[in-house]
Amino acid sequence: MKCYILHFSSTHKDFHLPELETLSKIENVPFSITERSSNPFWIVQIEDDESARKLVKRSIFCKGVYELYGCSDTLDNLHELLKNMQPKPWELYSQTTYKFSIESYGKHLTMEEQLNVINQFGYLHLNGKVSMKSPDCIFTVLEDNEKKSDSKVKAYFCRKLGVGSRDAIDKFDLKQRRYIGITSFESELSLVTAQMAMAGPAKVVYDPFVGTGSFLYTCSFFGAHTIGSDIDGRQMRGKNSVSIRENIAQYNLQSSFLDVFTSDITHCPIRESFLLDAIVCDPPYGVRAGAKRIASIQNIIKDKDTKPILHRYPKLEHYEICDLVKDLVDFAAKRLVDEGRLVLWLPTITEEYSIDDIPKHPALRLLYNSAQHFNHWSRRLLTFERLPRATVVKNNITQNSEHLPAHYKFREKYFGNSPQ
Amino acid sequence: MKLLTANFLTCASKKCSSSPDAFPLNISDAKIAIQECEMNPEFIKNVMLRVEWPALVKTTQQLGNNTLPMEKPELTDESDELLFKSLHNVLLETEITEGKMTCGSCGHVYPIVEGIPNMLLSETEV
Repeated sequence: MKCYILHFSSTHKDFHLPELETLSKIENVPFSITERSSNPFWIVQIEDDESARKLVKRSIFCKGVYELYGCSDTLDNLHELLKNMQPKPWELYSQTTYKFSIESYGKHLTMEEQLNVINQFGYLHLNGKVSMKSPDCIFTVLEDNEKKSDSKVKAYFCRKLGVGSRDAIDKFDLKQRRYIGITSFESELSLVTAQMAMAGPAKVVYDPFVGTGSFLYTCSFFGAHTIGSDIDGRQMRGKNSVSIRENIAQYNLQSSFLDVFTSDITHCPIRESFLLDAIVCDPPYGVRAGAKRIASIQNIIKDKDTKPILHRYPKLEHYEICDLVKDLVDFAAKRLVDEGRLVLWLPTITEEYSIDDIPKHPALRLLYNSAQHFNHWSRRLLTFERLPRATVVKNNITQNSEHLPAHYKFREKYFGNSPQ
Repeated sequence: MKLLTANFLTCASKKCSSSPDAFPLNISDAKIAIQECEMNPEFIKNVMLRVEWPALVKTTQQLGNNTLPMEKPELTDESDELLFKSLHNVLLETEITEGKMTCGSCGHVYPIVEGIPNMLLSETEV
């Protein structure tokens, strides 16, 4: 194992480790963390350079990966360390074309300041040619200027090996997307949703609340074949020739998109023997769009609405989020392949949130629960794994708790009306 | 709607879930389009494990294509490219743009409009 540095983005910190662990599983690259402080630089142990590149190449949060040569609390001390280091690992690259770069966190360095730092490294004896456009080797100084950082290390000298996939965030930016709706999901966290689902080539991923298709694009981007459905066909169909299909064409994902269809999660038309590799969704929970299901005829009669039903679109009824989430985990437990993932967004009121809000199922194991916080509410990305069927005993399917999971009457609480 | 999708959609009614007549849904009045897309042999191999072959044969026959063998072809890494290509063409490039799918058990008709199947039941069937 060798020492590497990972440079993370400063966004959504709660999601960084779950993503990295998921990538480790997807790419089959083990890693261990040596130092992870609040700063954006993590020191990790990885087998070799190739594995390190592989680990981060599809990462949304990791900006880059570097082979670590030395680190210290100040730049001056770093120079001392490097001058006295034996052997000098960078000498392997002392004849190759190279460039020198500085990545400074928490402070902007002018060109002049950067040159000033670079010039202090003359003692490295790099004899290769400098190439700004296509160097074989990028020596990098990482500087952490964040005052709050609890890490003692402030300066790192390393060699850049590879980058993540943060450029995909721009690619899926909603402002550039041809067809969007009020429930379209922002780019960065849509990509992370696909990541947590381990979307990839040869897999089938299903979004049962597809809306305008946000997760289909990011799951297909990672190579998965995607299916979506929604109870409201209008959103999928779009208007004036802008639709989910139009976006699929915009992103050139036709070869990894299967279909969308109109359906109700409580009456899913996918045959039970067709297992899915992952289920991803942002269920409608009543803030921008409410959840609906087809009303059963008994309920309609109770509503004194006994007029004969002739219109083609069935009557829908309100679908409480705790019922929806329960149906969803039951559905996922039945329909996922062994070790397949259910990845769903769940809104919670910050003050009232407790672990009981997380749905449970004996066949599903909660792997991650990462929160994005807003003022008085949060949304949580829950990642479940389907336990191998051979290991799960068929019993106590229902949760025996008084507490209704998934924030009963979230909508009322969100809008500030306390429930009756 | 791709023929692969037709191979995993069944009647949404719970009453029909155990009926052998509910799958595959019977396709009629279909308009077909060929949408070419890039082939991914790994995906074909993987998804073929989940394809109900007799149902696929029946569906293609209802669309007037009698060329599929009755036996599900075994796919290995060495299988010839022609076989992969023909499966790719049937499962992923053949699309039903308009048509009807009828459940052989309860008789519910699921319309396909602009390539999107409407799999909703009515209130009386829920």
